[in-house]
Amino acid sequence: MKRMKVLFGNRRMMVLLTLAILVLTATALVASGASFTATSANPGNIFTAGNLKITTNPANGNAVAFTVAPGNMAPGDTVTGTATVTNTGSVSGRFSLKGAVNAGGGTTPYPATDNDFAANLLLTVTENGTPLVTNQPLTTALNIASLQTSGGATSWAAGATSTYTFAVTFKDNGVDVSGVGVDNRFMNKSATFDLSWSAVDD
Amino acid sequence: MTAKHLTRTKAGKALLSLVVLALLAVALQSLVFSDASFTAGSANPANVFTAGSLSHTNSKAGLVIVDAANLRPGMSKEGTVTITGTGTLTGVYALNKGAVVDNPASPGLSKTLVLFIQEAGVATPLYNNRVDLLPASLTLGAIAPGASRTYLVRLTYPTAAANPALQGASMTLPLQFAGVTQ
Repeated sequence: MKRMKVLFGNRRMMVLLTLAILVLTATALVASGASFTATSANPGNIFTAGNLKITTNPANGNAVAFTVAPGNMAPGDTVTGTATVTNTGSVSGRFSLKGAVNAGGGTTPYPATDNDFAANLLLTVTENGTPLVTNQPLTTALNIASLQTSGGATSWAAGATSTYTFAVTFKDNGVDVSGVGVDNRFMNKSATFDLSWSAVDD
Repeated sequence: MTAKHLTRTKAGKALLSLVVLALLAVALQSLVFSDASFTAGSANPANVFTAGSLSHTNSKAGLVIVDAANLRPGMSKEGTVTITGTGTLTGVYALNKGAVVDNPASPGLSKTLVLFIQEAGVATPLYNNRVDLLPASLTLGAIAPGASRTYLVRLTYPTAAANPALQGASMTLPLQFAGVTQ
């Protein structure tokens, strides 16, 4: 007891002891890693991809239906068909049309004279009534830039529709000096063209 | 540096924040610069155009329609010819006259003989007058594929036109049936 009284009665010792305790406490507070935390949540963040889709009438894979069957054309005849194209996707896109004369393939050979027949078929295409190509030979009409980029310059919103009219005229080259039809050489000849529609999102 | 140390120390938390920001930056860059696009396509292939044909058969092709040998005043001789459409297209047909040859040229048998042409089943004849007055072309009408028209052709030597100078005379009358698509 006397020793304790001596030990704790020493004021200097009391101060040092107190400081040591304070230092130890502060160190514990800094080094323990304990922190206040708070949280909040933003649940249900859903990201969904849109889609770009072309729907045509006639449907994909089907030929254009012409008002008069184009299977028995005479010089001077014109046959007309219509196709509608709709952006049935959920995003906007730029649509364009390309075409190609089918110069071969299938079960029927495509001799040179059939190429001439295609050159005597004149194509006129309108888009919503506005001409894209007018009376151009089938062999070259489908490569015309205005046809390829039709609609490509403007964006189609989802649900937008355009109507395309195709008129094909069998050019009448008349008769020769003997009175024989110049176009007799095309009797029973055939020409075929393919149309392809494409779209790219904006 | 343990994971527990990363989440519990200020330095660790700062490092974690930087890592997250870096990951977000990489993801954002991927979204902006990937050039990926949606595309769609549809096709209307095999649009076929075929030319038809125009042709016909002539039942007397290459032959005379009327064998008018040894005609005498008051006598008639006749024959028929049938034209049938055999192509896929309808044609508008005409009977065309070629160059008439009289031997002798004068007085000319073509100026005496009367030509009568009538379509079977049609009351009104197509022509009924002297051979030399036949127009260059007579319109016959449309003949559809598979359809036929038959024509009666008659040559008459009128009694009133008898001319001794025409004894032994001859006349050649070329005729052609020609069709054109409508």
